[in-house]
Amino acid sequence: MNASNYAILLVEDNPDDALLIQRAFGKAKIANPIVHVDDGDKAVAYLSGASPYDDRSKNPLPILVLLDLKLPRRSGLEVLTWLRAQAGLKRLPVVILTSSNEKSDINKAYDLGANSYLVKPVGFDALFDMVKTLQPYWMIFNERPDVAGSLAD
Amino acid sequence: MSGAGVQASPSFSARRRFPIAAQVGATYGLTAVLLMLLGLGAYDSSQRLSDIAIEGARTQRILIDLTSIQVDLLNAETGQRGFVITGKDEYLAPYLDAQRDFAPRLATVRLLEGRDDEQIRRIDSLADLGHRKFRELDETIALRRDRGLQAGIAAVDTDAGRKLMDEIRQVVNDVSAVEVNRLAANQAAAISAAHQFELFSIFGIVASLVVSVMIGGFITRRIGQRLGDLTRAALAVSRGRLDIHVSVAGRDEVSTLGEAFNRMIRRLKEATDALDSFAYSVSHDLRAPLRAMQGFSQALIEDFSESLDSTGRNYAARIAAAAGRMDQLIQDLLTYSRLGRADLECRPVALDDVIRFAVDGVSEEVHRNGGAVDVVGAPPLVLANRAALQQVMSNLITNAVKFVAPGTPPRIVVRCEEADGRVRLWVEDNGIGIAEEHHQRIFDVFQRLHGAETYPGTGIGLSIVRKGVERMGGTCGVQSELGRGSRFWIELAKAEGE
Repeated sequence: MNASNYAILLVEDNPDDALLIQRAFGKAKIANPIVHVDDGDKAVAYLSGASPYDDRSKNPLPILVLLDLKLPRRSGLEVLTWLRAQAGLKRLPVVILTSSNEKSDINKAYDLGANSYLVKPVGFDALFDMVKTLQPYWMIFNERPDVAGSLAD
Repeated sequence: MSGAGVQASPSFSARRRFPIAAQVGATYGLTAVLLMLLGLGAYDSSQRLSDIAIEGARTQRILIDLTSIQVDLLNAETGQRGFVITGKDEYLAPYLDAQRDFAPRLATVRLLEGRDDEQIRRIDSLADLGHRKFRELDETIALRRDRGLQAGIAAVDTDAGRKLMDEIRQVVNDVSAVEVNRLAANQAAAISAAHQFELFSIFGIVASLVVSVMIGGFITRRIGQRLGDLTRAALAVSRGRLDIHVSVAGRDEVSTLGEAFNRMIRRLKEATDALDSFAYSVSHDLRAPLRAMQGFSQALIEDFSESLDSTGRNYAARIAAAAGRMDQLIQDLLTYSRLGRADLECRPVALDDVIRFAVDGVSEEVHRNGGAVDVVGAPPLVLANRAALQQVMSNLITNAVKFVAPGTPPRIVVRCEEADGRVRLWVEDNGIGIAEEHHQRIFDVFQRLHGAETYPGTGIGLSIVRKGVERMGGTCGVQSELGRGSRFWIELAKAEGE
């Protein structure tokens, strides 16, 4: 299956940031559908295929998760902890995309199994550059692991 | 961090205090008491010895008097015999003396014997015997006087006189024996008292010395130790560790100081933690709207260029620029506040790497303006914190590139000097220079010498330089004149080894 059909799950509570990120993906002409949820519980529900995300044809399992840390209901690190504990899903690549560049947050994220950590830049051009590299790196160059229930099966 | 003993309790008033003054006072007091006891013991011994001496003198006096009495009686007898033989009165002299002295001497002895009933009884019998003796002597003398030599001899020959004398001798011996025993006992008592005094003195002096030295030493050491613990804790705090808790034993001013110290550190940590949360919050919550401002104003320009005229695009651009400036300000403030807390851990850092990184950061702009940055010589290793040093270096270099007269290509020279284990790094530029009166101010926070239009900046860059350098144990400064460029310098410790 073509890599450009795989979905990217964006977990971001700030609507401005979500919009700008999606605009950046659009400007970089990335074809992958961006699925956006705005809190931690919805992220867990989506990834586990719980209602209202149980129809996998409409809510495909993503092959990459862009995860903010400061989320309502369940924090990004809690989502990550949950994900890494799921037998089938635990290999799913997760890129933290957040505003914090505190060493403690970075270290904790890697400790809990994040694959990469990106800090949201203030300038849009910088965000655009970041997004431009995301797609080829994670979709094309990166070797994807087996994840249960993903479209790659 | 420990002194042996009780953990500090939460409230100051909860325990009985035993202040240092009281401890010292108690030590002196105890020593004084020991010395006083020694003194009392010595006084008592000396009183005893004096009593013993008086007692001894009395006994000896009695013995002497008894001897005298005996001698007197013998002399009396001798006188009487002499008179009996010769019939001359001058031979009676000793007899008359003895007669005169007997009663007073006996009275003295009776007085000296005091209340000893046995002895008094003996002395009474001696008095009686003495009287009988003198009566016997008198009679014999009268016989001689009246009836002549033969009668006198006959009287002497009856042995009555000799028998009396024997009795007298016996009584005197009895009295003497008692007194001689007393004398022996008295001497023994004197020796024992002297021994006691000796022992007492030695023991007392040694005990006082030991007590005062030991207790004094103990107290001093305890105070010194605990103050040492507190000092070490305070130094650790000054170097940035706020998780220190001191456990100071005791119930005196030093333990109170320990409790106060712990409270102080707790408050300091609370304040620092509050500041940290504040900075964290600033870092994230303040920057999110900035992202939106910058991103959407740019999106406006890019996606709606047909709907916006040049003024509209201008406004949108200003929004984006303002957001960018605010973001820079926030980042600088965060950097500055992060430097504030602790002395930085330093290790050997290669200066040339740091310089090169900073120069790379401005190389594009420098080339665009036709300028150049030269690094002269081989920069050595310094003791520094890499991240902070990098920040300092970047700030100095970007300043050097920024503050040039419009149209002038920036020419920057970076060079190093070494002396006495210190390394001084110079960043020399051909920029607009700084007037003498501003040389100190520029290192303060938010100090800017120019408007935002001419030379943009947050006014924090050089404060970061100074604070960062100071936190690495170094110094910084500037040499400059208005219009003649500037030479900024920082000085750090040289690092040994490869």
